[in-house]
Amino acid sequence: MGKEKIVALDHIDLEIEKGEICCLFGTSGSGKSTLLNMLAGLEKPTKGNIKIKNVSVEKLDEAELAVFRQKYIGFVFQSYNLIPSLTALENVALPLIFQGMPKKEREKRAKEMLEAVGLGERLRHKPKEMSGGQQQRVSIARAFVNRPKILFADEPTGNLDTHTTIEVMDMITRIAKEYNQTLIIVSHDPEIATYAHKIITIRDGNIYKIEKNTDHGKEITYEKQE
Amino acid sequence: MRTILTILGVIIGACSIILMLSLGIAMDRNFEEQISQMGNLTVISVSAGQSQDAKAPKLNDKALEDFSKMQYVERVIPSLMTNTYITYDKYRTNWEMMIYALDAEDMSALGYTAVQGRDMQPGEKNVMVLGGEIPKQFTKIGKRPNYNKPPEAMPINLESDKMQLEIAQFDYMTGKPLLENMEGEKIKAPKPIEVKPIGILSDTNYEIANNAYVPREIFDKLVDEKKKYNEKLNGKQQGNRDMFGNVQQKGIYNEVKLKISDRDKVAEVQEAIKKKGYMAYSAMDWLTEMKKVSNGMQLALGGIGAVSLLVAAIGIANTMMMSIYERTREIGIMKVIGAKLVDIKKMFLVEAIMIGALGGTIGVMISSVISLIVNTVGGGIANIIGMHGATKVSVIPPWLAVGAIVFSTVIGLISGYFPARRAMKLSALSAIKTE
Repeated sequence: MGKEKIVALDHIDLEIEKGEICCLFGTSGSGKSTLLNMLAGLEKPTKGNIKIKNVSVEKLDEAELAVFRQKYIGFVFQSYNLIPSLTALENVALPLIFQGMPKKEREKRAKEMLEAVGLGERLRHKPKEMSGGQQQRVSIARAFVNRPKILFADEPTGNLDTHTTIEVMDMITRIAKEYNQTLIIVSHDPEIATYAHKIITIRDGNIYKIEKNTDHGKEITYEKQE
Repeated sequence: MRTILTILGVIIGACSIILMLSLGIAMDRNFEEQISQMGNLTVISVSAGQSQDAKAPKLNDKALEDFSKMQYVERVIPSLMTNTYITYDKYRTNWEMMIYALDAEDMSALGYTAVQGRDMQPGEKNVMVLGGEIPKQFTKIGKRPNYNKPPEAMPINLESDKMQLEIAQFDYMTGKPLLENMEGEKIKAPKPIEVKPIGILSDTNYEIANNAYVPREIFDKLVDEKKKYNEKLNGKQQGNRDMFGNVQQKGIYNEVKLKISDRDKVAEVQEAIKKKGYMAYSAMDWLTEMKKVSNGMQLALGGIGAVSLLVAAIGIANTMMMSIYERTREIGIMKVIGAKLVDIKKMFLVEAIMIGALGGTIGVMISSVISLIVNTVGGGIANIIGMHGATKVSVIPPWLAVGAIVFSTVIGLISGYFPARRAMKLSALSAIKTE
């Protein structure tokens, strides 16, 4: 029990360009979340190399990773992961606190960000007092408040209905484009994939195929040879 | 809610340690108070002792000079004493009172301050300060004291009235002066010396309560006159005698009092004097003994208090631990959005410290209130725990209050440290996955 060796990811070779919107697509258990966690430095690969802005992420220690995440990376989770005891405004301002930004400025930034996601009226509400879509928008605001270079979204719409999903996805891609940010979304929903420039399908720990969304429809740039 | 309960634990811990120690401190203070009432703590009484050894050092002027050269000895006050009846209006003391020669500076050095009237002024003559028991010793001339009744203090008009220091001895039955010598010849009645009573000393200091104090000049005159009278009455051989019936030799003192400048050095000086071969005694002897007892008590009481604070410390650690389990997810989130390890550690540490500090502060406040209550209704309690006649049952000095707050803060820090480290070391990913 538990001793069995499980290979989640096996020989993945992947490059993502700056400013790209990229979707890691796959069924549950395919290894897509593991890939995301590794890209974000939350998990370390047993072998191999992850380079972001020419920094080998897997070689950073915990303290360096914290600073690295602070500077370059934003996160949106499926289950929002807001701090229940804090208001929307405080939740959004939290990453700025860790950067040591003065209170006035970080509240201003957080407020701007919440307004950008359409929650200008709900600054003082706690997560429990908001709907799922609103909570996810707060978490998006939190992810973007830092102006991260890369935004990771792990099933960002997994808990949302179709209508809200569209709303949230529109918002994420709009903001990402606005600031020329790289967006990496993990999803099993084909609907989400349509927002991406590049769709990477993962299957059994391997890249199964890479597609590009062009004006003329999908174009396969790589396909694993069986 | 859990935090409040934890703080409550710290409060109780802090209270118990403060109150326990405050009892011990109050006990200390009471000892000191009682003893300083009995005598001045910075005064050493030196006597040559009753030793028949010819080599034993004498308390002469040379010895006095030696004493005055010793370190910490502020003032050397030789005791000059004679016994005399005191007459006040139609009343006379039941027996001869001890009259001491002390000038104003000596009195203040020894801490003999009047509780009624005033102290002697430097250079003053013809004045007398009475021990607190002396007003109770008067009986109407010719009558005998009624021993079935506790003596009542006679009201004395200080400043305005005069008292007579009698030279003569009086017949116990009749109250008439003894004016017939052994050959049956009449001698002339000596004229008493008139002095003005100006102040009465405390009656709680048994060392001085039965004595009267006059300036040196009056004293010398009194001794002179008495000597003449006694020679006429009894012949030359007997001379002047002190309270023990020893013949007083000129230039030799029965007792010398040394005023010490620093109360912490009293024991040291006393030892040094004993080494020289004198007998030395001070109220500090008692205090040191009693302090030993009370230190032991304090240790035991403090120990009881410390146990409850220890329990509180475990409470803090437990609360922090639980809080970390509960907030594992939050910690993970914070890590993912860029919290540094120290940020997380700091967060939990600060919370633990706050619990400690808040508990300590409230504990100090509550103990102050309890201490106040105990002190107002505390007479009975004081007797139960063996502090008879204590004015205060519980004393919280500032250092104890501050110390308790600091101590409970440190307890918070220590008991929060390991949980905080644990929080810091949580893996961000597994923390987030916790539901």
